[in-house]
Amino acid sequence: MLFIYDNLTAGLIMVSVALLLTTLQMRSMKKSVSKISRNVAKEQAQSFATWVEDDLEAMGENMDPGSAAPFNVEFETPVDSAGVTTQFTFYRDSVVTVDSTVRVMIQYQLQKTGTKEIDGEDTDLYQVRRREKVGSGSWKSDGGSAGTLGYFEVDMLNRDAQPISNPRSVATADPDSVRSTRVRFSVVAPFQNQQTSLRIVHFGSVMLLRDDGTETMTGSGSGS
Amino acid sequence: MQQTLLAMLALLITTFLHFNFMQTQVRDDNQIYRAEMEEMATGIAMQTMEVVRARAFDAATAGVPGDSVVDVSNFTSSFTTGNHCKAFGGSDRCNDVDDFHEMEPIISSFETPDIRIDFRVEIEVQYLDSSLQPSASPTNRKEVTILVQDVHDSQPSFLREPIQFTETLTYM
Repeated sequence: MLFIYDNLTAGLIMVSVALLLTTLQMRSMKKSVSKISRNVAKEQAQSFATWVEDDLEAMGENMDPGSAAPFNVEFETPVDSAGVTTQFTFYRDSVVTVDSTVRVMIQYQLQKTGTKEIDGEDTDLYQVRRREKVGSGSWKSDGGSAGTLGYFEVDMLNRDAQPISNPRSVATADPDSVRSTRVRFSVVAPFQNQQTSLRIVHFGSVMLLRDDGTETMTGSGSGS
Repeated sequence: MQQTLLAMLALLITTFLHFNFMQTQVRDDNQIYRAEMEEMATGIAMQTMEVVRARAFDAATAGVPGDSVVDVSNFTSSFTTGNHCKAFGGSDRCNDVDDFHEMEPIISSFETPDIRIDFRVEIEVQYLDSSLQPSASPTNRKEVTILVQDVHDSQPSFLREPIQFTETLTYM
């Protein structure tokens, strides 16, 4: 008993120190897990953004802008539902021989993969499935995103960067009225805990669709 | 007495370690939010650039067919500033690239169903010579710089300074 009384202060402090160190260790572990999760989400977003940008930049490639409408329009109106784009189809031509092209059709289909609770609310998760059709062939599945998208939206923009509600018919009437394609999406971190500071990673990009043809202007750019 | 002092020292060191960990966590979180803001700001800058790019290179080239070339001597030598462009909800027409130079700053939003972040956007335009250096006289190159910074009602910006997105537009 005397030993306990003698060392009471030291004992209490030892317990406090042990508790603090344990808390520190647990937080550190949770932080590492959340960091890995965020990096995975970032990598998935970056990888998806790269191939979507490549795809959309090639929209209308080799197509003859002088051909009669609607054969000169390189996209279908994006199909939206519940605030997300569920289907988007666009075209480009593959040059086979001189004066001979094959139409390549690419389609993005958004499919629900499940739900995840984020900040106490259930959030739907999606996956973009990419399909391709060459000439008169059949649709073939050709890649896709991770199944952790929280949001996906494709908009066709006018010269004021405002979304056009029915771009296919607008472009059929006046091809120069649709200027660019905007894609926005978010990726949900695959596993989360109390230390996860960023649960959803967002991404947005805008790609020029065509020039208005009134003058010749080229551009090159950089960001920092 | 000595024992108590050593124990207190241990507690002090542990508390310091804990405080240091929390500080690092706050710093990391800020860094993460800043990177996220940069990503969104770049999207806003690209969208704004498309608005500028959709305009004529110069007032002298507006409406001129693609197969005609306007001489550089006809280009605008001094840019108007302070326009409130129609493309961004204002009343000024802004139908060529330099009309956006030092225009009235606008607020543009990055919106998804779960977030809405506002960004302040400013635009600067200048002529570049053949060595891509700023030129006081008109040339057939205009450098467009879009400056974007996040703005919040209740807290300071995560981006310490605006991101810069630059494109050089060339008239041929």
